[in-house]
Amino acid sequence: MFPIRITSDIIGLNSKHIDYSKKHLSILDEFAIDIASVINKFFSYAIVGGYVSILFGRSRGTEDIDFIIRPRNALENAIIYLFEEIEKYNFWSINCSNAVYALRECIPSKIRIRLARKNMVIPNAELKIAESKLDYESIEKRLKITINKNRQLYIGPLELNIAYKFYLGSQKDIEDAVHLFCLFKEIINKNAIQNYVSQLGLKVNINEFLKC
Amino acid sequence: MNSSNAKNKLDKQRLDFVRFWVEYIRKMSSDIWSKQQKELIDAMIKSANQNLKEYLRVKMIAKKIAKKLRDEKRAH
Repeated sequence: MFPIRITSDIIGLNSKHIDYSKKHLSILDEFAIDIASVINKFFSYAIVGGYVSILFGRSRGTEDIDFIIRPRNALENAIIYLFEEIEKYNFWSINCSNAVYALRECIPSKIRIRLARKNMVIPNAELKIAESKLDYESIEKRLKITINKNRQLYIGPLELNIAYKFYLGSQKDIEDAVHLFCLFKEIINKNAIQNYVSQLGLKVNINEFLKC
Repeated sequence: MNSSNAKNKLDKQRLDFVRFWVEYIRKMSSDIWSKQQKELIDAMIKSANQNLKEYLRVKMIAKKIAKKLRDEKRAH
Protein backbone atom coordinates (compact mmCIF):
# COMPACT_ATOMS: atom_id res chain seq x y z
CA MET A 1 0.00 0.00 0.00
CA PHE A 2 2.81 2.45 0.90
CA PRO A 3 4.22 4.70 -0.40
CA ILE A 4 0.97 6.19 -1.64
CA ARG A 5 0.37 9.51 -3.33
CA ILE A 6 -2.65 11.25 -1.77
CA THR A 7 -2.36 14.49 -3.77
CA SER A 8 0.40 16.09 -5.83
CA ASP A 9 1.73 17.51 -2.53
CA ILE A 10 0.98 14.78 0.01
CA ILE A 11 2.61 11.36 0.03
CA GLY A 12 2.02 8.67 2.64
CA LEU A 13 5.53 7.23 3.00
CA ASN A 14 4.39 4.58 5.46
CA SER A 15 1.62 4.19 8.04
CA LYS A 16 3.40 6.61 10.42
CA HIS A 17 4.99 9.16 8.12
CA ILE A 18 3.55 11.66 5.64
CA ASP A 19 5.62 13.82 3.33
CA TYR A 20 3.91 17.14 2.68
CA SER A 21 4.82 20.06 0.43
CA LYS A 22 2.84 23.14 1.35
CA LYS A 23 3.91 26.05 -0.78
CA HIS A 24 2.39 28.86 1.31
CA LEU A 25 2.62 28.42 5.09
CA SER A 26 0.25 30.62 7.08
CA ILE A 27 1.10 32.47 10.30
CA LEU A 28 -0.63 29.59 12.07
CA ASP A 29 1.51 26.94 10.34
CA GLU A 30 4.72 28.84 11.13
CA PHE A 31 3.65 29.19 14.76
CA ALA A 32 2.75 25.50 15.05
CA ILE A 33 6.08 24.37 13.61
CA ASP A 34 8.14 26.79 15.73
CA ILE A 35 6.43 26.08 19.05
CA ALA A 36 6.37 22.33 18.39
CA SER A 37 10.15 22.31 17.90
CA VAL A 38 10.55 23.81 21.40
CA ILE A 39 8.00 21.48 23.03
CA ASN A 40 9.61 18.49 21.33
CA LYS A 41 12.86 19.01 23.27
CA PHE A 42 11.22 18.01 26.55
CA PHE A 43 7.97 16.27 25.66
CA SER A 44 6.64 13.71 23.23
CA TYR A 45 3.64 15.38 21.69
CA ALA A 46 0.78 14.95 19.27
CA ILE A 47 -1.24 17.78 17.78
CA VAL A 48 -4.94 17.00 17.82
CA GLY A 49 -8.15 18.92 17.11
CA GLY A 50 -9.02 21.51 14.51
CA TYR A 51 -5.51 22.47 13.52
CA VAL A 52 -4.90 19.02 12.03
CA SER A 53 -7.61 19.73 9.44
CA ILE A 54 -6.31 23.26 8.92
CA LEU A 55 -2.74 22.05 8.39
CA PHE A 56 -4.13 19.96 5.54
CA GLY A 57 -6.01 22.76 3.87
CA ARG A 58 -9.34 23.17 5.64
CA SER A 59 -10.65 26.64 4.78
CA ARG A 60 -10.90 28.08 8.28
CA GLY A 61 -8.73 29.55 10.99
CA THR A 62 -8.39 28.88 14.70
CA GLU A 63 -7.13 30.71 17.75
CA ASP A 64 -5.44 27.76 19.39
CA ILE A 65 -3.58 24.59 18.56
CA ASP A 66 -4.16 21.59 20.83
CA PHE A 67 -1.11 19.62 21.93
CA ILE A 68 -1.23 16.44 24.00
CA ILE A 69 2.13 16.15 25.73
CA ARG A 70 4.02 13.49 27.69
CA PRO A 71 7.26 14.49 29.46
CA ARG A 72 10.38 12.71 28.21
CA ASN A 73 11.71 12.64 31.80
CA ALA A 74 10.35 13.94 35.10
CA LEU A 75 7.45 16.33 34.60
CA GLU A 76 8.90 18.95 36.94
CA ASN A 77 12.18 19.16 35.04
CA ALA A 78 10.43 19.15 31.67
CA ILE A 79 8.30 22.14 32.72
CA ILE A 80 11.28 24.05 34.12
CA TYR A 81 13.33 23.51 30.95
CA LEU A 82 10.34 24.33 28.75
CA PHE A 83 9.85 27.70 30.42
CA GLU A 84 13.56 28.49 30.06
CA GLU A 85 13.46 27.56 26.41
CA ILE A 86 10.31 29.48 25.47
CA GLU A 87 11.94 32.62 26.85
CA LYS A 88 14.94 32.07 24.56
CA TYR A 89 12.74 31.71 21.50
CA ASN A 90 10.51 34.69 22.23
CA PHE A 91 7.42 32.86 23.39
CA TRP A 92 5.52 33.34 26.64
CA SER A 93 2.80 31.61 28.58
CA ILE A 94 -0.35 33.71 28.51
CA ASN A 95 -1.95 32.02 31.53
CA CYS A 96 0.80 30.41 33.65
CA SER A 97 3.46 33.06 34.09
CA ASN A 98 6.43 30.89 35.07
CA ALA A 99 7.48 27.30 35.74
CA VAL A 100 6.88 27.44 39.49
CA TYR A 101 3.36 28.83 39.02
CA ALA A 102 2.68 26.24 36.31
CA LEU A 103 3.79 23.38 38.58
CA ARG A 104 2.08 24.63 41.77
CA GLU A 105 -1.12 26.12 40.40
CA CYS A 106 -1.88 25.33 36.77
CA ILE A 107 -1.06 21.63 36.51
CA PRO A 108 -2.66 20.52 39.82
CA SER A 109 -5.83 22.47 38.85
CA LYS A 110 -5.75 20.92 35.37
CA ILE A 111 -5.34 24.35 33.79
CA ARG A 112 -3.68 23.81 30.43
CA ILE A 113 -0.58 25.91 29.80
CA ARG A 114 -1.04 28.22 26.82
CA LEU A 115 1.99 29.45 24.88
CA ALA A 116 2.08 32.26 22.35
CA ARG A 117 4.66 34.45 20.66
CA LYS A 118 5.72 37.37 22.88
CA ASN A 119 3.31 40.32 22.80
CA MET A 120 0.66 38.13 21.20
CA VAL A 121 -2.26 36.07 22.52
CA ILE A 122 -3.52 34.59 19.26
CA PRO A 123 -2.55 32.09 18.01
CA ASN A 124 -1.57 30.03 21.01
CA ALA A 125 -0.68 26.43 21.79
CA GLU A 126 -2.76 24.73 24.48
CA LEU A 127 -0.79 21.97 26.23
CA LYS A 128 -2.73 19.08 27.72
CA ILE A 129 -0.69 16.64 29.77
CA ALA A 130 -1.68 13.12 28.70
CA GLU A 131 -3.89 11.40 31.25
CA SER A 132 -6.50 9.23 29.54
CA LYS A 133 -5.93 6.04 27.56
CA LEU A 134 -6.82 7.85 24.33
CA ASP A 135 -4.41 10.70 25.14
CA TYR A 136 -1.57 8.19 25.41
CA GLU A 137 -2.75 6.48 22.25
CA SER A 138 -2.65 9.82 20.41
CA ILE A 139 1.06 10.05 21.23
CA GLU A 140 1.95 6.39 20.77
CA LYS A 141 0.25 6.16 17.37
CA ARG A 142 1.15 9.66 16.21
CA LEU A 143 2.05 10.44 12.60
CA LYS A 144 5.17 12.30 11.63
CA ILE A 145 4.53 15.01 9.07
CA THR A 146 7.59 16.22 7.21
CA ILE A 147 6.75 19.61 5.78
CA ASN A 148 8.68 21.03 2.84
CA LYS A 149 11.47 18.47 3.38
CA ASN A 150 13.02 19.93 6.53
CA ARG A 151 10.33 20.81 9.09
CA GLN A 152 8.38 18.43 11.28
CA LEU A 153 5.13 18.13 13.16
CA TYR A 154 3.56 15.14 14.88
CA ILE A 155 -0.21 14.69 14.77
CA GLY A 156 -2.47 12.20 16.53
CA PRO A 157 -3.79 9.30 14.43
CA LEU A 158 -6.23 10.51 11.77
CA GLU A 159 -8.86 7.98 12.83
CA LEU A 160 -8.83 9.18 16.45
CA ASN A 161 -8.93 12.82 15.35
CA ILE A 162 -11.99 12.09 13.23
CA ALA A 163 -13.72 10.10 15.98
CA TYR A 164 -13.08 12.84 18.52
CA LYS A 165 -14.64 15.36 16.17
CA PHE A 166 -17.81 13.26 16.25
CA TYR A 167 -17.62 13.31 20.04
CA LEU A 168 -17.52 17.13 20.00
CA GLY A 169 -20.33 17.10 17.47
CA SER A 170 -20.73 20.74 16.35
CA GLN A 171 -21.15 21.66 12.68
CA LYS A 172 -17.54 22.87 12.55
CA ASP A 173 -16.27 19.62 14.08
CA ILE A 174 -18.18 17.37 11.69
CA GLU A 175 -16.87 19.49 8.81
CA ASP A 176 -13.31 18.97 10.10
CA ALA A 177 -13.96 15.22 10.27
CA VAL A 178 -15.34 15.10 6.72
CA HIS A 179 -12.40 17.16 5.43
CA LEU A 180 -9.81 14.81 6.93
CA PHE A 181 -11.67 11.70 5.89
CA CYS A 182 -12.17 12.79 2.29
CA LEU A 183 -8.59 13.99 1.91
CA PHE A 184 -7.05 10.82 3.35
CA LYS A 185 -9.70 8.30 2.31
CA GLU A 186 -7.12 5.98 0.75
CA ILE A 187 -5.23 5.44 3.99
CA ILE A 188 -7.92 5.84 6.64
CA ASN A 189 -9.25 2.79 8.43
CA LYS A 190 -13.02 3.25 8.84
CA ASN A 191 -13.27 0.38 11.32
CA ALA A 192 -10.72 2.10 13.55
CA ILE A 193 -12.82 5.29 13.49
CA GLN A 194 -15.95 3.32 14.43
CA ASN A 195 -14.01 1.62 17.23
CA TYR A 196 -12.80 4.96 18.63
CA VAL A 197 -16.31 6.38 18.32
CA SER A 198 -17.59 3.50 20.45
CA GLN A 199 -14.79 4.01 22.98
CA LEU A 200 -15.91 7.62 23.27
CA GLY A 201 -19.37 6.38 24.20
CA LEU A 202 -21.18 7.49 21.05
CA LYS A 203 -23.90 5.66 19.18
CA VAL A 204 -23.14 7.07 15.75
CA ASN A 205 -23.01 5.22 12.48
CA ILE A 206 -20.10 7.06 10.89
CA ASN A 207 -21.05 5.81 7.41
CA GLU A 208 -23.95 8.26 7.45
CA PHE A 209 -21.51 11.19 7.54
CA LEU A 210 -18.23 10.01 6.10
CA LYS A 211 -19.15 10.24 2.44
CA CYS A 212 -17.07 12.11 -0.07
CA MET B 1 -25.01 12.45 19.99
CA ASN B 2 -26.84 9.84 17.94
CA SER B 3 -26.99 9.66 14.17
CA SER B 4 -30.49 11.04 13.64
CA ASN B 5 -30.03 14.03 15.97
CA ALA B 6 -26.71 14.89 14.40
CA LYS B 7 -28.12 14.62 10.89
CA ASN B 8 -31.02 16.94 11.72
CA LYS B 9 -28.88 19.74 13.05
CA LEU B 10 -26.19 19.67 10.37
CA ASP B 11 -26.18 22.15 7.50
CA LYS B 12 -25.87 19.96 4.42
CA GLN B 13 -24.83 22.81 2.13
CA ARG B 14 -21.85 23.61 4.33
CA LEU B 15 -20.83 19.96 4.36
CA ASP B 16 -21.14 19.89 0.58
CA PHE B 17 -18.80 22.87 0.38
CA VAL B 18 -16.26 21.03 2.56
CA ARG B 19 -16.41 18.08 0.15
CA PHE B 20 -16.04 20.44 -2.83
CA TRP B 21 -13.02 22.14 -1.24
CA VAL B 22 -11.33 18.80 -0.47
CA GLU B 23 -11.74 17.75 -4.09
CA TYR B 24 -10.19 21.09 -5.11
CA ILE B 25 -7.21 20.45 -2.82
CA ARG B 26 -6.82 16.93 -4.16
CA LYS B 27 -6.77 18.17 -7.74
CA MET B 28 -4.82 21.43 -7.48
CA SER B 29 -1.23 22.08 -6.51
CA SER B 30 -0.69 23.57 -3.05
CA ASP B 31 0.80 26.54 -4.86
CA ILE B 32 -2.79 27.50 -5.71
CA TRP B 33 -4.92 26.46 -2.75
CA SER B 34 -2.49 27.16 0.08
CA LYS B 35 -2.14 30.76 -1.10
CA GLN B 36 -5.89 31.21 -0.63
CA GLN B 37 -5.81 29.48 2.74
CA LYS B 38 -2.85 31.57 3.92
CA GLU B 39 -4.61 34.81 2.99
CA LEU B 40 -7.70 33.78 4.95
CA ILE B 41 -5.82 32.65 8.07
CA ASP B 42 -3.26 35.45 8.12
CA ALA B 43 -6.01 38.05 7.79
CA MET B 44 -7.91 36.45 10.67
CA ILE B 45 -4.87 36.47 12.94
CA LYS B 46 -3.77 39.96 11.98
CA SER B 47 -7.22 41.34 12.75
CA ALA B 48 -7.69 39.32 15.97
CA ASN B 49 -8.13 41.12 19.25
CA GLN B 50 -4.93 40.42 21.21
CA ASN B 51 -6.41 41.47 24.55
CA LEU B 52 -5.27 38.83 27.03
CA LYS B 53 -7.81 39.50 29.78
CA GLU B 54 -10.72 39.36 27.40
CA TYR B 55 -9.40 36.26 25.64
CA LEU B 56 -8.99 34.27 28.86
CA ARG B 57 -12.38 35.43 30.15
CA VAL B 58 -14.14 34.20 26.99
CA LYS B 59 -12.24 30.89 27.16
CA MET B 60 -13.27 30.38 30.78
CA ILE B 61 -16.94 31.09 30.09
CA ALA B 62 -16.91 28.83 27.01
CA LYS B 63 -15.34 26.02 29.04
CA LYS B 64 -18.06 26.27 31.68
CA ILE B 65 -20.83 26.25 29.10
CA ALA B 66 -19.29 23.28 27.25
CA LYS B 67 -19.02 21.33 30.52
CA LYS B 68 -22.65 22.12 31.41
CA LEU B 69 -23.82 20.95 27.96
CA ARG B 70 -21.78 17.75 28.23
CA ASP B 71 -23.21 17.04 31.70
CA GLU B 72 -26.74 17.61 30.42
CA LYS B 73 -26.12 15.31 27.47
CA ARG B 74 -24.83 12.58 29.81
CA ALA B 75 -27.85 13.00 32.09
CA HIS B 76 -30.18 12.29 29.17
